[in-house]
Amino acid sequence: MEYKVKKGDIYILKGPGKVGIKRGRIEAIGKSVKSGEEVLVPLGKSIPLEVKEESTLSIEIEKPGEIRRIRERTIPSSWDNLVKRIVREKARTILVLGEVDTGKSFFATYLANKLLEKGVKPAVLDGDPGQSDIGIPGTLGLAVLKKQVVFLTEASISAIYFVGSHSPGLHFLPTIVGIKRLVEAGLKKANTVIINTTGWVQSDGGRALKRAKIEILYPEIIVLLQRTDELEHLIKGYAPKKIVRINVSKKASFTSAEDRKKLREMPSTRYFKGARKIRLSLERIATDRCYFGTGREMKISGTLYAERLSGFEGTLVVTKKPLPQEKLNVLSKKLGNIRNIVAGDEKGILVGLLDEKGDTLGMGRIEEIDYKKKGVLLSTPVKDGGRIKIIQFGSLRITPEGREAGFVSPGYF
Amino acid sequence: MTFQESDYPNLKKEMINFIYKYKNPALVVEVLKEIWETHKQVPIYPGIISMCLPGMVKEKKIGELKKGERVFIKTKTLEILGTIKSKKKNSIMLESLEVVKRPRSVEVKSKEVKNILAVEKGVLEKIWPTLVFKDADNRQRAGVKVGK
Repeated sequence: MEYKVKKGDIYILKGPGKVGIKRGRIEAIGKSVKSGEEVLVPLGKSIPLEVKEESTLSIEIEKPGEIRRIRERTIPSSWDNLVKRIVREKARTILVLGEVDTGKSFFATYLANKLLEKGVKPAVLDGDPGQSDIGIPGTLGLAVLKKQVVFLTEASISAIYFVGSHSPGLHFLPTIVGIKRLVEAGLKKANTVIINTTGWVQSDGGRALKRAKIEILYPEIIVLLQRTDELEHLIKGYAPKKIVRINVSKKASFTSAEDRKKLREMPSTRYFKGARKIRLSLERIATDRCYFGTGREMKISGTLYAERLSGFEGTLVVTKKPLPQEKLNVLSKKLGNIRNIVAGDEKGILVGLLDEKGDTLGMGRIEEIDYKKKGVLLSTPVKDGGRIKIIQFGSLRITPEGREAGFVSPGYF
Repeated sequence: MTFQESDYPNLKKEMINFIYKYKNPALVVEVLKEIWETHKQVPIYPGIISMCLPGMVKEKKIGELKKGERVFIKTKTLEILGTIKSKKKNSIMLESLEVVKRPRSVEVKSKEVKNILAVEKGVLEKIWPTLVFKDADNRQRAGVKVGK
């Protein structure tokens, strides 16, 4: 359907939908979209389209009513004031905090686009391993923006860090380490790093994680996207001049759990689309974030593989079926605590693939471990298997297509 | 104050509350099995398991019960855990039973004993004595409220 729109008009488009610019110019989340270009809005996302010049738009939407005109701009002037401040102060680290559905990704994208417009090279760190805009679920991603984007999913990934789960809970340490490493990487390549975070800001876990991020980064500006005062507990004692409070836009959209799952799976299925199978020798590469492969190999009859672990950790044994309690009792009398891995349980686990410097090359899915021949078969889009030196175990299981399929208990492997 | 970096302590608390509330060992084992099954599904979300725990036991009227349901029933003299085999107008038939009788006292003859497990107290002190703080004066001076 073709629309003729006037300068100054503002529309909200609810995805899935597509807007093509036949003539004129609009702005979408701070990105200038000109004649001949188009904007794709995925399912579960709503964005404002601000008409900057008289334009003709071709709009494709699934349901009528998914585009509507609104009277006021949804982006408050405080956002633009912050852009000016970042430019003026040459601020390098901006931490964005907000509850779920407060528009953090939208805000980070707008900020990055506007900084680009002002000649500042921005990087965005996606610190939410669940709702990955940059990278795939289970990871943290960094994108140094060279051109404006409507959604961060369009940006090329500059660096990635494997957390191993789509929730930071039970994965606090990798989350914090990853944030720190990616910020450092971003500061080498960009003028300003915008750190987007998860919406987990309350209770023990939320407080612990956010406080740790603030402590380790000591950001130059902390942006609180809040409805009332729900984030104030996180910044007590922090220099007031470093805090920027922004009221959450009333138009910030609510994303259902079902839509969240679909959004989460999109980058993952896209990532694994070009995956191929590679076989690696476990004698040549190291395993990480697991017990398996970290001890001294030993022979125990009736097992596929066994290794003596460090000190009081006991013994790891791999068997075809779970060992019965009586057998476990007998073994543990001789060998201490027994960690019993059942062959086949590794299938589908999402793993991080690292090079010799410890940088994440990409992700893979374990197809199979041959415990006797010490080989691992992986599906991965990482092209040069020869560079893989470390496999980091995660807690997510995915299908060959990259869809979520369950979990593996942290510490099992 | 410091923060719990996992929801496991809360899950442990919920489980202990459950054990104290229902007391019956057969029911507790049954619910622990269900907790374990839930844990296997979502091992990275102990907080969600805690949220599920109160819903794992639901009070029902006899008319609401269905064949195949696992139920825990208290009668005047017994505590029974079983699976509903069939239903009649005024009764239900149970199978796969765990029945707990609670006599006030019981005499056990030596020749009838197969094995005995004694509940040991003070294991922590035996294996890690430095973690057991007995000195009441020190504890009081450290701010611990010590009962007489």
